[in-house]
Amino acid sequence: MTIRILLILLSLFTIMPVTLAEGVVDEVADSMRLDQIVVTGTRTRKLLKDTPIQTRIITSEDIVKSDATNIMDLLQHELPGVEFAYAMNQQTNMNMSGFSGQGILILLDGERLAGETMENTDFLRLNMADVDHIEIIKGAASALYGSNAVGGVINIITKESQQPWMLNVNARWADHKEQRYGSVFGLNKGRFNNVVSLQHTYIDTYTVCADMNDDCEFRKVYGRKTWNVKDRLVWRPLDNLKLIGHIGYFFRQDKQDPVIPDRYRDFSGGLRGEWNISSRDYLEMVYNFDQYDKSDYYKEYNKDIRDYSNVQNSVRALYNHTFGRNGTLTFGGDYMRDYLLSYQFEAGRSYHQYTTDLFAQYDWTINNHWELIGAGRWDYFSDKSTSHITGKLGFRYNLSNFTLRGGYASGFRAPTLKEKYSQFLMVGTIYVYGNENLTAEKSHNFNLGAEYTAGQYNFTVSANYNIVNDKIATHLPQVDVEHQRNYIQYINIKRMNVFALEATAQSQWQLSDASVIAARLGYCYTHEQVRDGSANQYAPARPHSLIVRADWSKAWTKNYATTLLITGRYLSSLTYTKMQMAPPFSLYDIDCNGYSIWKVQLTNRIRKAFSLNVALDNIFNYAPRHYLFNSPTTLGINLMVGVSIDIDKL
Amino acid sequence: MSDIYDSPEDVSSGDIVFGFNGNPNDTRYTLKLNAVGFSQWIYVDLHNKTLTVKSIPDTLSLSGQWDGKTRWELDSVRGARYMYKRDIPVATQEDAEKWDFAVHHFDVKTNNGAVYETPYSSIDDAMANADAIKAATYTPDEWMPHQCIVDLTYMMSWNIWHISSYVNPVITRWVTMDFSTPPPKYAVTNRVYAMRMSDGTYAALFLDKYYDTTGKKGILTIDVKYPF
Repeated sequence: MTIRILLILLSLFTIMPVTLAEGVVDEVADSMRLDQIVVTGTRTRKLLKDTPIQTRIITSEDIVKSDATNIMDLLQHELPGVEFAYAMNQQTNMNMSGFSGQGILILLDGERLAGETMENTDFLRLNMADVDHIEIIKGAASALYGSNAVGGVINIITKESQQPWMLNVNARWADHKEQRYGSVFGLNKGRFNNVVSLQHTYIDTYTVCADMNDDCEFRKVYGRKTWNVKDRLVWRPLDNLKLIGHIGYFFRQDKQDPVIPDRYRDFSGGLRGEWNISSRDYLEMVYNFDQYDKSDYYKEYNKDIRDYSNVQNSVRALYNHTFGRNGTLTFGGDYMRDYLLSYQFEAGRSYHQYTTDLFAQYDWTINNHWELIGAGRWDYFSDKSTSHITGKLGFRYNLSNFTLRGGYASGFRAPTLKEKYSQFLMVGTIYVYGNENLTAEKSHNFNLGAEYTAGQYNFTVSANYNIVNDKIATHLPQVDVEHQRNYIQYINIKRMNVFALEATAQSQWQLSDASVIAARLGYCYTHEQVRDGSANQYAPARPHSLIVRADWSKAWTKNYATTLLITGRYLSSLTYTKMQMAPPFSLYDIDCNGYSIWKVQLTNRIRKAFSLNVALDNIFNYAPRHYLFNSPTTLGINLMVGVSIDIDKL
Repeated sequence: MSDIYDSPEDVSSGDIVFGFNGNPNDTRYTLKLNAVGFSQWIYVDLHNKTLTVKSIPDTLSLSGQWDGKTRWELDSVRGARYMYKRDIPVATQEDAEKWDFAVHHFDVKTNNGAVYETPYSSIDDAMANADAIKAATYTPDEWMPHQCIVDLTYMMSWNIWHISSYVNPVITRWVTMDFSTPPPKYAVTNRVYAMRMSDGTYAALFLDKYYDTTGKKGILTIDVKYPF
């Protein structure tokens, strides 16, 4: 293995240029982006430095440099406190600062996503091909976004074409026959702007734990293929009116069962109108459709049989009015039909419900130093006729280079149709029963954050304390006497407390040879405490996590530039209590080792059109001693080679 | 958007007839078996085209003298390794009166017969090479303690109950279940199996499908040529 590493390192450095030349870096790393427009925290367009809601941003440059295929690759390398782990049958569960995927609302251009597996969205459908940037809010945000924003919001913003036309084709290859092929075509002509993207990925199944005497929680990582195509058309019929239409199709086929492979599809579409009525008034109208299906492909019968479909049709209106220079009132409402057909319901039944809400927010800039924000929202769910009221209060205090943000926000997660009406045998061992009497999970978030910017240096520190009441989980196994079988049922457990402290330092330096170095260090401490009475199927957050990112960009000649990127992530060890998934369903403690994974990536830009990417992931050849659900699925060092061609720049 | 999907066959509605499909005098036909459960052997009499179902002895079945070898055994399964945990002696398996082979889920045993795995994937190809197939080396049944699964309740912690039984190790490979990452993953050989009966006649068997389109594993569709 050592020889292999040396050979790979040698191959990487032999393509490094040997002659230095004066030049200017085309795309200077600007990792701070305080002048970036963000929308997620307030639902109004504000500069990142001016938003009263602490917002983390992953910029377009970060995304390009990271060469991430999907949001999982990106988030866990860019943010401390984010971990993706397996749950059950190699389903993916996210943990962000102590909240599982159930408690984090993921939005695509501000819209909800249909479908879930183990209460997590299908992260593989969120590819990075056409993404402009990502905004992340930690802490409850139901006062603007409603259900599921219990512990945070991740909003993925897609991009518009900037040039008159652009066409990029790209490919990447790695171990386990991992392949990625993509293309983005953009047109920007007159009042029309269109971006269409296509991506195909493939990875083979590989064995991580061949020793059958080893108590691995999984022995193989199952492969899959995906297809993802999206189109986004923007038309500006008037200078102050913007109409956006989008359609998308996603397909995924897993290799877990080679004879009856699981298939996943998503069909999406929508229309959005953005009307700047005057300099003070803005109206947004949205219709959105999202359908997420699961099916089994019975190869020998050539039959593709759907057993799950979640269809969401929603409309929204949002209005902003600015009073003088000091205040902005935002109000609006949503209406959504939520339909669910699932194999988890008895006899293939389906359920649907209507949800509606009204929300209002006032953002008051008192003076150059102080800004206050308050919001309230009422949500109604037709199933069982329940409603919820949430609110938030926040402030921003600015003094020279120093900004302090803080506040309180409440959140909730309404029980899903699945959690209410399920009745199915899970992996042949235990029945899962829904519970019609579930109440919503409710959270209270208290947050305080400070930011200091001086020259090229930027420091942030933030603390979030969350109290989650009536958390929805499953209880410990019990015996259904009537049917003589073991079962677990969704219940509201009493309380969960989550505390997260995050600190980030970042900077960039322009060197005398015109090259640029950018560096970022992020640390997150998370304490997640769940009171007894539930069977947690997910690994909780690791207490300490650290990310390191540094890149050095230099133009050697007019036609040749390189970026050397080093990223690292460290996750501390963790011991937690887990339940056996077979009788007698006893509880046991499991020890998860801490680990760090480092990646070195060299991007060579040749002329303006060509980019050659060589990356060594896991350069220290880390391999877990035991493959547990929250272990990295690596076997060791992984060489990745990618090419990207901007045909419009040829 | 639902037009791209197919409808599942409903095996319980009577659309599918279990047993011998075709005319009584056919020598080539389809045999459909419901071997979903783990608690029974389905005995197949190819000579008379009859099926007989016999239950597998349960853990309370032993009332008389034990045969000294039939037992339920709980093992921790680690690939090909079986770590003994405990066992329960049970009664001897009662066989049908007349039978040629029997099926338990994907397990197959013969009535003093033997089996050869051909390199062919269709009965037609096998028939074209019948002489060579009949001249091949056939493997008789073996007493196997860890083949016949009787209880998968504990599989998520890699503990599986088996009953010891005679099983033909060659044809039983036609479907294998991999428990390394439960729930099990299935693999098929897609080969024609030639079976030599105790009376010297031959049958060719090809497992066309082992599941139905409602996801039930153990709905077997077997292409049969008998006599072969």
